[in-house]
Amino acid sequence: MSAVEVMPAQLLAGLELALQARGLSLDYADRRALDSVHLQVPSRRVTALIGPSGCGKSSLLRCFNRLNDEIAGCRVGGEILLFGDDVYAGAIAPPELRRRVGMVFQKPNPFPQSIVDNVAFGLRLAGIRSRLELDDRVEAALRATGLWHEVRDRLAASALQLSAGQQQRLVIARALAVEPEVLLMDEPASMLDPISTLRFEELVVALRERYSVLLVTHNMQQAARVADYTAFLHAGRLLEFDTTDHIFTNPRLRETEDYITGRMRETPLR
Amino acid sequence: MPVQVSSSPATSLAARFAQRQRVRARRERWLRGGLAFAAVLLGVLAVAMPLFLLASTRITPGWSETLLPLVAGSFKAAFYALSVAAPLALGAAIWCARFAAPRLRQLLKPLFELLEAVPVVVLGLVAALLLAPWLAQRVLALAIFVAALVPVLAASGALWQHAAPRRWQRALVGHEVGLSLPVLVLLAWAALVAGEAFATHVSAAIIQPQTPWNALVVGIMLGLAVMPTMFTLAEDALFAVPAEFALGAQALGATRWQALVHLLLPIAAPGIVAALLLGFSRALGETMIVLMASGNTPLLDASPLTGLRSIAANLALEAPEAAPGSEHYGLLLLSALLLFGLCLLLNALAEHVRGRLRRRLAGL
Amino acid sequence: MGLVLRLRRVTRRRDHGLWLAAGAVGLSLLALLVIVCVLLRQAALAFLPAPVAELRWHSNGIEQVLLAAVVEQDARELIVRASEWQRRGTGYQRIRRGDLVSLTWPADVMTWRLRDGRELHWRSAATSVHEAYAALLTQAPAGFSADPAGQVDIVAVNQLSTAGVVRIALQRAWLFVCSGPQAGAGVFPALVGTVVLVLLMSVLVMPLGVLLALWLHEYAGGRRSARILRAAMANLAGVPAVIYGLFGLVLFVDGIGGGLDALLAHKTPQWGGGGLLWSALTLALLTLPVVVVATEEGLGRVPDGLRQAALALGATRAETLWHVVLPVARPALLTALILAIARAAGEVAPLMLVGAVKYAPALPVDAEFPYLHLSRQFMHLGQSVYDLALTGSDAPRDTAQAYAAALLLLVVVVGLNAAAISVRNRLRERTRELST
Repeated sequence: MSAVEVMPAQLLAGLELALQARGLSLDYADRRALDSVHLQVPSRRVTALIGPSGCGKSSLLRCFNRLNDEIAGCRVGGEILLFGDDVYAGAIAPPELRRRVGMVFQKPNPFPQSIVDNVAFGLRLAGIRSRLELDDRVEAALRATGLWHEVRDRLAASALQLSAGQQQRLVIARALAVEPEVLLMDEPASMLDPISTLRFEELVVALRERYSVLLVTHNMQQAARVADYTAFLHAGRLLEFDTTDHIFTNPRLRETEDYITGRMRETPLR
Repeated sequence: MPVQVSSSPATSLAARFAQRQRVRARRERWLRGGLAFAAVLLGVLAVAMPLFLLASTRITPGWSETLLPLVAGSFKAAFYALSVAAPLALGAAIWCARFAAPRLRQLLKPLFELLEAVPVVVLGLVAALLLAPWLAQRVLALAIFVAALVPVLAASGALWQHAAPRRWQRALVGHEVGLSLPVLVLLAWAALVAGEAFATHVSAAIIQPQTPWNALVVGIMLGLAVMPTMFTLAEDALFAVPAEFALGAQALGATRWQALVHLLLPIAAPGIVAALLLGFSRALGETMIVLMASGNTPLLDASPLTGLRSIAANLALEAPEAAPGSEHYGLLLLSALLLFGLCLLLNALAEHVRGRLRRRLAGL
Repeated sequence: MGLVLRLRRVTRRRDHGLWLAAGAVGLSLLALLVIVCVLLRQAALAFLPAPVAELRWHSNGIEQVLLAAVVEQDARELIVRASEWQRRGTGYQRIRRGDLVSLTWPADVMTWRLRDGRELHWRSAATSVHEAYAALLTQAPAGFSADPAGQVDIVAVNQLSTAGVVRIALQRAWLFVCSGPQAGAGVFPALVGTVVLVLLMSVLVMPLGVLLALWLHEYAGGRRSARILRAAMANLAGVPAVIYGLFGLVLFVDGIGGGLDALLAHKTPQWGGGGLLWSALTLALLTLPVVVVATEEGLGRVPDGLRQAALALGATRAETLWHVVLPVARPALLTALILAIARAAGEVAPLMLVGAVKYAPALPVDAEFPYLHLSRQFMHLGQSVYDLALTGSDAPRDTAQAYAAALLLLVVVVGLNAAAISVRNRLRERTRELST
């Protein structure tokens, strides 16, 4: 299935593309997770990735920062381009790639260290030793996620003492601190309460100013609220890609409509 | 919400990362190399150990006459140790895993782990200086104790279940060990008195040991030493069997014991066999208890009332004095290689059997 | 007949196997209890001041008088220990019951315990140490002299209150722990030897063991080489300790040590004999599987989310391990270390082959350069237990001290193990916290 079939022509014309997947396929030791996926993620936009459980959303996300490399027996076929550079061809070393393509996980995973040390983790890897500069950058990152006012008095406290919503925003601050270009988010709000979710969505919309965001979500309303574009993934294939409005009001495919309206069975039949 | 990440872009982070990339990549390579080196080193050592022993062994004409009593001694000690340890360890494992109250189990498990940690030289000391001379006069009492142990325990249990008030019985479920303690102490006391009383009887003369430092003493102490290892393995195997099996059987009218024997034991059998094999392997190689309490006389008989000399104890006694390269040295290394091979075989077998248990449990 | 039938019915219906199993637990617990009690009692005997009797008996028609502590007695004879005027262990006498005229416990007996372990008994009603010493000189055999400064304690032994007995016993126990064998009794050098040996072993085994565990768990995963190495490790763990000792003897002492001596043209073997370094290396090999298994278990408990978080931030594998995984697994490393130490501290058999000796003239550490003497032979607590018990020259006292040394060893090893168990349990709770 080529890019032409899944998305309307001229949809992304004139936009810079942050990430592109071309004919991407992914095989685990015993099964195929992705099958010739064509996806284009525009720069400085929020793109939502929806689809039933087990359709390969997370696997696709992990291809973009090569986190799948860490799983034994996992093979990737096809191409992934980050601002035009082929990621798997060796043009970019994985650590550098992962710095440029930040990731937020479903479960908040702050390190069992202080709040400051969490945010400064990536900066220290860059060899920044100056206390002043570290503090400066940590503060900026925390301000960017709106966490600064909540934690400024207890920066040395353990990050594990924060609430789940705060932890998730801390983790985003940690990712922002290393100045990424793209942010991958893997169902980041699924473990948050409604108020935290709201704040989180505001944050995502704000991030759109500077970053390209690819957001996996199970929550249709969330996708509708925050995303500019939405991609529908089903059984390892990308079936439809369009503006969010279009997908939710007037999907081209039966499957998309069924899924959005809740008529599709959660586990796809094979 | 304004998004402005860095207020001090002296040099951009990307440039800094680019600067450090080579250093970081080199560190990564070094670590990878270091780890692989450590792995290779250990692999070499594991192979080197038997090869080194093999390279220095020498087979001299009379080797079998020298080694045979030692091999026999090792097996004799291990056999008696296992006949003490196996019933104790398996019984304790069964009770701890399936019958003990959870609280009591949490208390008993670390207690057995601590018992496992007791240095063998301490046990050897107690065996050589106290148990051996004390037991030499009381073998008859021991025989009476062992013979009466099973019937007395079973009878006291049956009596309890028959005669004790319901309320008491319910309170004791999961703590049956509390009942067995006074019974055991009473039985031990009775056996000692009976042993004294029959001391002049003709049977006492038959089982009078030739030396205080005999296989009986070694068996008891060595058995105590290897028992915790076997207990831990067997207990883990039994505890891993899902409890629903036993409950299902009990719902069909089986007693707790019947459920255990007919359902749980067959499932956990590989783990128990592995425990026995590893216990035997440990008993074969244990040195200090045998060295201190066995008398170290190379004999070729199976009686528990005579002494013995095991391969391991022989090594500890003779190796420091043997001159490198001599025939004696070569023969010692040969015996060590034999012991090494035996233990390796038993361990590999135990590991194989445990693998079967793991597969079986995974299938449940 | 009816009763028998009824009993049979009762026993058939009930589960007696359960009672046997409970009996096995009870028997094990009883055995543990008996061993601990016996050790405590025997060790206490080494330190409790023995009351001194005045014995009168006929020997070849001549009446003899002696002040002595009764060591052993049965229906036929007494074994007593009188004053040791010359050397330790020379005061023992055997007295037949039939010859005995009287046995009294005079209140004015003084006992002087010297630093070298000798004990002197004499009668004196003196109140000051000086007067007592003067009285002793009048009763001592000709040629006797002793330095009053060399005393441990002078006590009127038959008049001691319970508190006094306990005080004296504790004093003597303390002296036993912190003095050397040349002073008659004491395990201080053995204690130092054990501690130095175990520390050196930890320094050797921990880096290698942790590296191996890291490789197995973080890099090799399920690869074939990792499976082989794991199997090798499992087998190494089951090899008898004495084989390690022999391996150390052949490889380290005779092989490397002998080679070094030949290379450096030493006249007397310096490295080619048993020594501290070789013993530590042998123990390091012995405890390697313990460290690897415990560390790998700890690494397995580090939540995978943390690793992925670090990698996703652009950290390399090495940085992830160093900054995230190892700090979280630190309690597991501690457990591994403690378990290795506990295993090594109780091991005696391999040391008998590679360097522990009954009596070493010097400590392995001192103030002289290079401070830590790697090629020196050393004393070890476990070895001391063995030697005191089976090859002591002053059997009654030495065996009592063997029990005391054994008790010390037991306390050290069991204490370390208990520490490891509690650290491990706390660690489990913490990782549970992390993963929720």
